[in-house]
Amino acid sequence: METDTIVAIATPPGRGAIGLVRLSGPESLGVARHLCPDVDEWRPRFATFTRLRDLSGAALDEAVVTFFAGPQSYTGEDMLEVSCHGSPLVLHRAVESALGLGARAARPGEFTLRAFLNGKLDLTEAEAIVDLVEARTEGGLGLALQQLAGALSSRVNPARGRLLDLAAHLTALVEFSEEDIPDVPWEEMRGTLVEVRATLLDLLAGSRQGQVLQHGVALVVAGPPNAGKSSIVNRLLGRDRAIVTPIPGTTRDLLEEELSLEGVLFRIVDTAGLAESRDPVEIIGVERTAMALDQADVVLLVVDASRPLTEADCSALRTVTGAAPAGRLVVARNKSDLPERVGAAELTALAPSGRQVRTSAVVEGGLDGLRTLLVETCLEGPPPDGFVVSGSRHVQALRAATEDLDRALGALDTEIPLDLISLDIRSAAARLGEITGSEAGDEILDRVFSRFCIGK
Amino acid sequence: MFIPEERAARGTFDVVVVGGGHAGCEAALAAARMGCRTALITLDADKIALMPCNPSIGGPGKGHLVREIDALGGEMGVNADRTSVQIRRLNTGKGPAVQSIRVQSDKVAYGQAMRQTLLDQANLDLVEASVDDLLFTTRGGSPAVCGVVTSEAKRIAGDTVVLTTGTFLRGRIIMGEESFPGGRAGEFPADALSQSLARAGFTLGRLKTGTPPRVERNSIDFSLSTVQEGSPEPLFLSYQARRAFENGFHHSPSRSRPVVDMGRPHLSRGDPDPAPTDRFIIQGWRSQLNCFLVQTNHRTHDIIRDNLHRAPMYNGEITATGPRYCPSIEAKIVRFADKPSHQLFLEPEGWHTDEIYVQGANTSLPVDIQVAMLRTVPAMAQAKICRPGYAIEYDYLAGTSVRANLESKPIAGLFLAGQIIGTTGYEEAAALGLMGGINAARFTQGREAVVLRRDQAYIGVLVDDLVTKDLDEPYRMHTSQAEYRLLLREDSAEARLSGIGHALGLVEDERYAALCSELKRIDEALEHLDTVLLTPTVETNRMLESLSCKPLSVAMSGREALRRADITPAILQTLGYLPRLPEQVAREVETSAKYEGYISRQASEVARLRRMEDRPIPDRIEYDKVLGLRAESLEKLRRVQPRTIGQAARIGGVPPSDVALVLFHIEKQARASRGPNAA
Repeated sequence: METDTIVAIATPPGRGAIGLVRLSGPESLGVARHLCPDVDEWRPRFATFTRLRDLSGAALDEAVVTFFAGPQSYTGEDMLEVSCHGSPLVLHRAVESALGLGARAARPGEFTLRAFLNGKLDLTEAEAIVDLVEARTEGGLGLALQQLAGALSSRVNPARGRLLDLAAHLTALVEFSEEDIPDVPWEEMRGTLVEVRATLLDLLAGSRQGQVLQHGVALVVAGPPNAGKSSIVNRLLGRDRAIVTPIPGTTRDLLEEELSLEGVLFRIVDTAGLAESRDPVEIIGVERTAMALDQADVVLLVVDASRPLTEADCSALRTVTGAAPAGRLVVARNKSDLPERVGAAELTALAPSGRQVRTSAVVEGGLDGLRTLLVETCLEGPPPDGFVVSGSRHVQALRAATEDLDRALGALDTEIPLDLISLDIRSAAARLGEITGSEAGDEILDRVFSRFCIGK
Repeated sequence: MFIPEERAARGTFDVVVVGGGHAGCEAALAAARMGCRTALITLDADKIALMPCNPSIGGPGKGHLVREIDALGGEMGVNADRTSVQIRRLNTGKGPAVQSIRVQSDKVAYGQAMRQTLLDQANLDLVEASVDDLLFTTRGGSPAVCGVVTSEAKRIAGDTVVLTTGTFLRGRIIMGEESFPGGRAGEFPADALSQSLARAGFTLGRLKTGTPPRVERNSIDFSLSTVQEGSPEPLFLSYQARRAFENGFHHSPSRSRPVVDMGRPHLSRGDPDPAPTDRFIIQGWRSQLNCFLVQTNHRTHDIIRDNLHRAPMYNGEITATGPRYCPSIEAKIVRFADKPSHQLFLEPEGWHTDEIYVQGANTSLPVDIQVAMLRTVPAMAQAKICRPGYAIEYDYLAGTSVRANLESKPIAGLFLAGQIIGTTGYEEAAALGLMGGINAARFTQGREAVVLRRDQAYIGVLVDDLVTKDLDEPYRMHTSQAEYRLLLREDSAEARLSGIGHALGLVEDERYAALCSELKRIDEALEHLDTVLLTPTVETNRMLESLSCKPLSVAMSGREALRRADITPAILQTLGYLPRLPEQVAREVETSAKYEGYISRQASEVARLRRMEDRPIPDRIEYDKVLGLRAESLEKLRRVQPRTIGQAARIGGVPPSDVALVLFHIEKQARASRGPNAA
């Protein structure tokens, strides 16, 4: 039996009205008791309707939870399944709470791997897994994904390098204790750890990078009312999500969805149309749109090209163009199934920084072009701050590294011996290596020999 | 030489060991002690267990290996203790995992004592001969070894052969412009055997190592050096020496047969001891010799730099790879040109010799330059070199030529250990020799191989790294190579391995029983500490302060108190919270309590990975039938032939997804062989 408990969102990103979070491992029941404190009795295989709470006890959602006692489960281990509403935010919070309770983010295919190892799968199923594993190898990943991973690596690598240098110095001191290797000054060691920790925290939480890191690229869809924004979003998602009516101002609230394009995870924020309005509900919607634009990594401006632009439209266009981050504006000249009344030149004048594409939500025209343009816009030039592909695994690695550094810093203030501190520093470097895909083992000795003159 | 199966007689010996160095001695002793008829063949029976480099055993990583060898019933620790001239504990205060004991031994006495042990060993014949060829046959259709042929064309039949040839395979010594064939200084190489291995299909590579000059004691002015004294506290590498000391036999040889008297310094010439710091110190527990520290200077470096064109390392004469942690002095000057000075340790080579080993001056420069460079150091201004330093190149076989039991992959019954498979160091050689001897014995007995895990022993790490990784320099044991080093402490070696040694018949019942009772005492002491409560009374705090400990502010259990850096078992004993404990037990109690969190984190990491580690890969797996495997992974898996999924995952350049494919393939095969109905 495995000794750790793994957790993951089991439903594909950005799809389904119902989301499923799955845990497997010996702590499944323990986590269940924390997440669903209102459940009195956990009878195996009985679905229970209850309230899902995060670590602070705040209610996240209503959920149907089922506990499976191993070996009568999919993986053969104790398992918990939490079905709740499909909001990505709720699902992420549920996973985070489980992580906070000691679970670990599952690696791709790991539930199935455990099922297989526990003899729960037959041969046909196992072969299907082989396909899955193959698809997950680097070769199977889109170029986009690799570039995105590279963007995070470029931020993590310097931090990892500093930890490895420190670990190498400490290693040299214990491995070659009789050589005249200078001690690491306490202040310097502390300084390095504090700075690296700050970098990781910056990547991880609170900051905008942290938000993006966990939720993907923020793509804000904006434009004048009834330009077809929600229809475009629905076509991109491949289903009806937003309520679409021919009445302007239908989308009054922000709708958030996740969409994976060529491995890039987009967090789509569909906004209310930007128009002057007296309807108080609509006014709030417009304010929220402005806030969303402020948080956007990429903005998709949707314009109805089948009718001439009004003064209000132009004003809305200027607002959106002004709010979009530099070089990250895509303009969809929508409703291409109807005769064109707004030309490329006219839009270029209004939104000079935007790259244009013609689209039609009705006949699904130009959508592939739009998808390509969105991905390209993300990847061109300097990447948006620290965004990555799959949130949880990287977040967990960063968090574990931060914990290692916390422990090392705590130990620095006590009389814990140097070598034990170096264990935590090495561990932190190894966690960061999980993000950058490199192993630390030999690298530390390489650094020792290149930096210190050692030998009998 | 090939012998048809029907004519290959059963061996005169069960195990034939070729080479009498540190690996060969351990291999032969282990096999003989396990009941095998054993021969140890050596070129020169007077050079048994020679230390051609440092007269030093132990240190970080290496000391760990020696303690493990000792726990498995090996000889190195016993012999080093018996012949030590100085002993120290290194890295005190840097953490429990990296503390290690290092012994300087009397070079002559070490060899003599080991030779005597071999001669006294039942089931073991010492044979002086040069082995030129191996005898091969087929067993069950596969190639197998069946003995050796000496240079006098004499055949020595053996069911297994353990090759521990060190630097002798096509050895070539280089000193400045001179170079000549040699296995060690003054000894012939084993060229024919090297060719025999090549004919047998092994791929030979070339490695290099070197040694510094030895200087006459009387030519050194020790008043211009810094003294390094041995430990004032009793320290031991071996259980035997520790137990003898605890029983009150401080200086006596531990076995009732003639061994070199190592306990008394040599003063026969009647010369008055010139300075108390020069020769030796007599401490309460034993006498020891001092070591000394001096520094090179810019004049030293100038001489070396001016003569680099005469350095074989830099004029193209030497091309083989040497160990990075053992660079020559010329390499240090070139690579760290900014460093104004390098340390040189002056180490006595024994009670009965006036030779001083100059640690740090490893070189293959010509002799005249060696003299000139040493004389720039004030303490050695008059230095006389009695043996010059030299470099040596030799043939070796990649570690991937052997399985984890050290048996060669192509030829059954042929085992390889020590420098011949790419290690460096006496301790590494001895550890491999011991495992090679044990596994050769197991092979003849038709029993399962003994393979130690990485979380079980440094020996496990050493073997696993050798047989798994592509190494491009001689392998030396470092503590940083052991990912679970907190579990692999020197002090825990007995607890980790004596059970295995006992089961193999290498550790006596009495010793094992003593260990078990010691382990029980550790547990009892820890349990006891959980039951006692220290309260911050005026009296307790006054006593703590008088022992220079911080006072208590809250009540805590004995175990919690021991977690504090300033509270030791001795203090708890003084306060009456802990009964009197033997030193070894007290150390383990303290380590267990103080570093509990760190230790248990490593233990749970081991448990997590254990599953992959324990999943075997069948010997007959056909990697080209594994669907979807990348070409690079395929090549590496074929060459390394990992035993377990865990080992496969450690091969550099084989991604986890490919390891998963192998796992699925194995399971698929297993299910298919169980029959169509067993899904």
